[in-house]
Amino acid sequence: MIDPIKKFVEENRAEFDHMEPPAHVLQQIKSRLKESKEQEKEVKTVPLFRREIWYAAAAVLIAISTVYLFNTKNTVEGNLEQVVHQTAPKVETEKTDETGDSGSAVTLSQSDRVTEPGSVPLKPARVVRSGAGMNGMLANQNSKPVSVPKDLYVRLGDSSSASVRLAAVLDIEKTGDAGKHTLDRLARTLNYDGNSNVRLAALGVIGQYVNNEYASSLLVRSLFSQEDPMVQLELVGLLGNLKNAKVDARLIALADDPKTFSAVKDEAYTLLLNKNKI
Amino acid sequence: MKKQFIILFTLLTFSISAWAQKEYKVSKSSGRLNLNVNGAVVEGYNGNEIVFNIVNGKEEPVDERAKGLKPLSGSGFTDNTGLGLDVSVNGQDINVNSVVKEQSGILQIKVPQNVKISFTNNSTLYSSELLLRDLKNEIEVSATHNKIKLENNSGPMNIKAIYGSVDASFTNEVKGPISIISVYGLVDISMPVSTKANIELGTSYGKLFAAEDFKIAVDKNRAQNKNQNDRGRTNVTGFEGTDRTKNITDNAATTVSGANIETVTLRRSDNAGENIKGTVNGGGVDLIFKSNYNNVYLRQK
Repeated sequence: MIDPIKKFVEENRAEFDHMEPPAHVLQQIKSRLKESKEQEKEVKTVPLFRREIWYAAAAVLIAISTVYLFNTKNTVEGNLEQVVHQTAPKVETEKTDETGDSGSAVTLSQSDRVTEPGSVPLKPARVVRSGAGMNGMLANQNSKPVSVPKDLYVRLGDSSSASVRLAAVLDIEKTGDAGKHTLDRLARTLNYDGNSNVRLAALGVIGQYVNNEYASSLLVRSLFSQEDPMVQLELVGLLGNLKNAKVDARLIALADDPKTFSAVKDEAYTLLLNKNKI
Repeated sequence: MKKQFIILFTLLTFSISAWAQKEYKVSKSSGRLNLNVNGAVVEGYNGNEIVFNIVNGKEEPVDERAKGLKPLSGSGFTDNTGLGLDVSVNGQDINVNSVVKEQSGILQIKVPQNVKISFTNNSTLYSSELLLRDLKNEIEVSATHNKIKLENNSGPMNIKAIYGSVDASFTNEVKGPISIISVYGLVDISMPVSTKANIELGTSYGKLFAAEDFKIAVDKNRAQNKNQNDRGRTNVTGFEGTDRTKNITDNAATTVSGANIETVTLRRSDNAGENIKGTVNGGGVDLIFKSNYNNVYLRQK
């Protein structure tokens, strides 16, 4: 294809080139270009979907929510601590002394059993149970702050001494508190504590409320996950008489498992025979 | 000639006794002694060193082929004591592991009284007696077949035995909690009558025995609750005084006269055995003594 303009330019090249443009023209053009660039910069828009912005926003959101969560938790614990200090300024807990001569005593004085103002009084659970029954008691306690001193939970998690943990379990029992939170903490001890004696003590406390739906559900769950044969034995004895299909299924599984501790197996067989399940 | 023979004999005796009394010492007066051995005699004393030695060790025949070679063990432990033990100190922990599966002789350990003791032996084949004496700090025992003896220790104690029995004798000043539990072995406790304690005795298939001098008061309300629990789920009878625990109930009835306290005997269910929970001398340290398949004895010291 022949371009007439191109042809014309080529033929008249000399006519086009004989004149030089004035020097200031280039400068003018350059300055105009700069201006137009600046103008472009000024009107430059920020894209809405830039990743960095969204990352930053997410980070800020996470940071704010984390701070909020921690603050609420601290407030609850702080309140509890305050109450503990107000009502029981003297907590006589002689912990094990590594270097001292006194040895270790893991006793807790009566003074550190604290009642939360307005909460269920720290009488043994039996007093409350005589009223509306265990379910009612649990419901009441769930709606109010925990009445077991925080110190006991700390001692319950003391990994350095089984005796400290055992003392904590026994002291929790003495408070008579059977709130959901307390039962959960005890269930954790029941399932994960490294010492059988401590686990059994925790089972002893939860076992007192075996008629309660929540406590028995914790025990049934523990029966499925429990690995300590001594605790298994107690659990089987405690739950074996419950009319619960899950428990029966677990008993059959335990009786059939060749790895089950012989005493547990015997107990499971006895219970199943009594129930006419085998 | 006769004189020379006597001198030779004396020297020989000394050398043998020196070999027999081979000791290993660790300077440590506090911390926790973790024993992973077949059995031991652990004795507390007023000192600053933990002293290990083996008594009545068999003299193993010298293996000529092994000369110049280092014994290896699949356990990963090396004999750094000359007693067949691997002893290592890690901060406050003193770990003692047996290099060989079966120890020869009796391992005797003298420890400063405030050292805590933790003994573990889950071996089904190799186990010997464990004796713990005159210790004034925490004791933790987890044993499968070992017979366990505890003498004049002040506690606290956590004792678990599967097949072995536990014999314990307490001093006047015991620190709680003390939990002694055996599955198949008996539990025999002797303690001063004056001990103030919250006591729990239990057995599933065995019997409970107590000296007449012990006045155990069982909380009536607790028993009622327990009974309600049992009735709720098993329709089993309520309070029942059984012959097995007659002594205990009679004693308590004659001695305790609190407004809320009365003696009762718990009977959880047909196969749940006997469980007694109460106080002695008004309560004090927490004591738990249980055996699933054997008897529990509580005697006066």
